[in-house]
Amino acid sequence: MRILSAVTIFVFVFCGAAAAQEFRGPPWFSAARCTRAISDAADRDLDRLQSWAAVYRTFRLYRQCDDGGTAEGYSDTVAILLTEHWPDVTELSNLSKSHPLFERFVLWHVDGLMSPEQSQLIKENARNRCPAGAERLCRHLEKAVEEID
Amino acid sequence: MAVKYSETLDYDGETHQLTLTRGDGTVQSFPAANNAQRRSGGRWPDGTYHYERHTTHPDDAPDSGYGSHGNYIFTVPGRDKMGVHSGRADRRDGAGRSGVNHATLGCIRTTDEGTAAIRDAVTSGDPVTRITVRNNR
Repeated sequence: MRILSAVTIFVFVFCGAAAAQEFRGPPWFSAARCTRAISDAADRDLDRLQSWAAVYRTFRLYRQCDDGGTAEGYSDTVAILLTEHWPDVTELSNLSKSHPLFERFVLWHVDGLMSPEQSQLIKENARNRCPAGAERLCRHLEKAVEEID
Repeated sequence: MAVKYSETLDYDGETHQLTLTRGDGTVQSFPAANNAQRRSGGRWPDGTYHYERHTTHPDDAPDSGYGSHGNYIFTVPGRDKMGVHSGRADRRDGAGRSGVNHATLGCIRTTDEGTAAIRDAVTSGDPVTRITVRNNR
């Protein structure tokens, strides 16, 4: 009986902990540092993200607000740049070499919001159309697509 | 004399319904979902949250990320830009879901009709000031 109770408690606690850990937001998000003014600026900036340089700029200024609607805008931008503007990946590769956390930010937004067609195209781009010097980034992009949950 | 109600917005995570009760007692329900990706801060916790602001973007449309009427944002402690929006009406996410079931990174997704009703309520003389979220486990 005691063993049964112990097992029941263990299962309850373990499952509770697992459920609590189901979601994991980006480590650079900080509600405390994401003020209303910064959050508004981040939202306005979403409409200007047409190059990797612009995405890097927004990451540098507003990454603490990477949550909810803003985060969804980042995922949309990353998907568009990696599919419709693939030749620009050299610029992303160069930025990633100098700023590893930025690469992590981009890979974080290779996520389940993108369509199956987009993720397939990114995988094909990374595997078959990787520019010279960007091989490491291409490997990471391919892996990120494979790990989409 | 007509009874005047305050306008309320409710989201039920079990029935996947967003319900707007207007000041004149009219009740409107819309399909909605809160399919937050695992790699996000997660779904809305159960509770009541104050309306904060509304954001729009030039590309707002039925298939865009936020839908035709933008994002209606409420104050959720510890989170940012937690809103109710529509979008992705005919575009699939990685799991093949579209419409209200399309994944988000925290927001509740409803239909364009749902956000149009919120827009009307927010701009009315007795606007929506809060949302109550329940059964959202």
